[in-house]
Amino acid sequence: MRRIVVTVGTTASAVALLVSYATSTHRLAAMPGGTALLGATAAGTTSAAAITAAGTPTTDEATDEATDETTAASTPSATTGATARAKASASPKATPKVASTPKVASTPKVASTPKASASPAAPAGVSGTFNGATSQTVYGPVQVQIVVKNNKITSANAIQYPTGNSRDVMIARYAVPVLNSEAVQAQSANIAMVSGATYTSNGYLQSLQSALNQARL
Amino acid sequence: MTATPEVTAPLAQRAWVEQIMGMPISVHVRGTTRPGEVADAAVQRVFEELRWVDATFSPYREDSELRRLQRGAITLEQCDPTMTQVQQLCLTARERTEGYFDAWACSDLGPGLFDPTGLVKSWAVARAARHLRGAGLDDFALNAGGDIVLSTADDAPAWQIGIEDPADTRRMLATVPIRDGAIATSGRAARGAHIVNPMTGERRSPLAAATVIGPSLVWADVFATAAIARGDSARDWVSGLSGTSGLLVWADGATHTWGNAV
Repeated sequence: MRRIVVTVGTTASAVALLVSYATSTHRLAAMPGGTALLGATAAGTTSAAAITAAGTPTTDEATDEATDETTAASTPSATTGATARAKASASPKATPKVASTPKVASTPKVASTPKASASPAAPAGVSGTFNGATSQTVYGPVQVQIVVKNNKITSANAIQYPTGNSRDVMIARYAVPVLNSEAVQAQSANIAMVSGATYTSNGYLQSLQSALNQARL
Repeated sequence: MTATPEVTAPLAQRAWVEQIMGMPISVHVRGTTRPGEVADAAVQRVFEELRWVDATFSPYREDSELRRLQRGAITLEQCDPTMTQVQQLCLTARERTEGYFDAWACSDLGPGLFDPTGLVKSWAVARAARHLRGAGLDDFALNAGGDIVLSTADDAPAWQIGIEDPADTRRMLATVPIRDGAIATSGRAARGAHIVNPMTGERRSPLAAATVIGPSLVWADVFATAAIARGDSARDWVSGLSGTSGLLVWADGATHTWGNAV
C-alpha cells in the first residue's frame, strides 16, 4: 500500500514540508532535475538526521525537521520506506514541530531502480495524484498534493493554506540578492551584517563586519 | 586601503563579538531600547555553547572528542550524543547533494576520515540561536564567520545583509534583505581549506563564491558548499533548491542569482 506521510514544521516565517513516499513494491527513482518538494531522512532508532531550521532540536531527542529546500535529486530512494518522525513540541519562539503519522513499516529492498537518465528499460512505475493527510500546524491546516509519474514526483503543491497575518504566510520567499553598484555604501543601505566565505580571526580587524560591529559595541 | 567606513548606529541596536572556533562571532540585537542585561546574558550563553562546540568538534585540538574519535581512541557511542546527530546530518547532506557535500571525502588528514567540520559550524550556530529566542529575543542577527542566522520582530524592518565580493573582501558585491532565516556563503578557499570536488578530486572550482539564503543555516551552508564543489553545474542545480534564493559568483566575475518558490 502506498502511504503519503506529510509532516509540516514551521519556523517563524517559513514552512518546512516533508513528504515521504513509501510503497511496498517501489522506490522512487532519483530525479534528474526539476522541482521536487521532497526531503526525506532516514529515521534511526535512536537518532535521526536533524535537519535544523533556524530553531533547532535539542540533543536529548532525535527529531526530524525537514526544510523546504530540496536538491534536484533528493529522494527517499536512498533508504527503503524512508519516513519522517517529528516530535511536537511547544516552546516560546522555538520552531513548532508537528507530530507526524506513525512510521511506515520498512519495505523489503528491491532491485535497484536505475536512474532515469541512465536506463529506459525499467518497468513502468507508479503514476498518479496523491493527497497527503491534512496536518494541523500552529498556523492552520496544511495539505500537500503530489503528482507522481513513473515513480518520480513531478510536482507538489499545497492545497490548503493557513490563513492569518503576514507572518503566518506559509510560503517563505527569500529575496533575490541585488548586486550593488559602486555607489552603494554600507551606511546608506543600513547593512548590519556581511556574509562571506573568508572570515577568519586573522582578517577580522580589517573586515567590514568589524566596522559594522564597532559602531554598536 | 583599509579605512574603516563610517557607520552611524541606530539607537536601539547593540553588538557583541568574540573569537571562537577560529572565527569572529558577531551578534546584533535590536530592541525598542538599547538591549540590556537580558540580551547580554543570552548572548553570553551563545558564546559559551560555541566554545563547548569548539572543544568537542575542533579538528585542531588533539584532545577534542572528534580527534579522539578519528584516532579510534573512543567510539561513537562514547561521544556526546551530538556527535551522532552531526554524523547523521552529514549522511543526509551527502545524500541530498548527490555526494557533492561529503564529510568523508574532504579531510586534510586523509580520505575516508569523518570530518564534519564544514557542517559543525553552521549546525552549532543555528543551534546556539535558541538561547536568544529562549530569552524572548526575536530581533537579532548571529553571524559566525560569514554564516548568519536572522530573526526580525513583526514591526521591524528586515535585516539588510551584505554579500562579500570574493574578488575584494573589503567590498560588498550584493545586498539582500532577510527577515527570518539564514544565509551562508562558501568560497573557493574557505579559511585555508579547499573545497574538493569529491567526484574529480579537483581542488579549484570555477566558482569563486556561492551564497544560499533559506530557512535553515545548515542547509544553506551545505548547499553553498556543494555548489562550489559542483562548479559550473551549480547554475542549473540551484534552480531545484526549493525555497531558497542566492548568488553564484565565478572567478571571472560572472554572477547568477536565483529565487525559488517553496
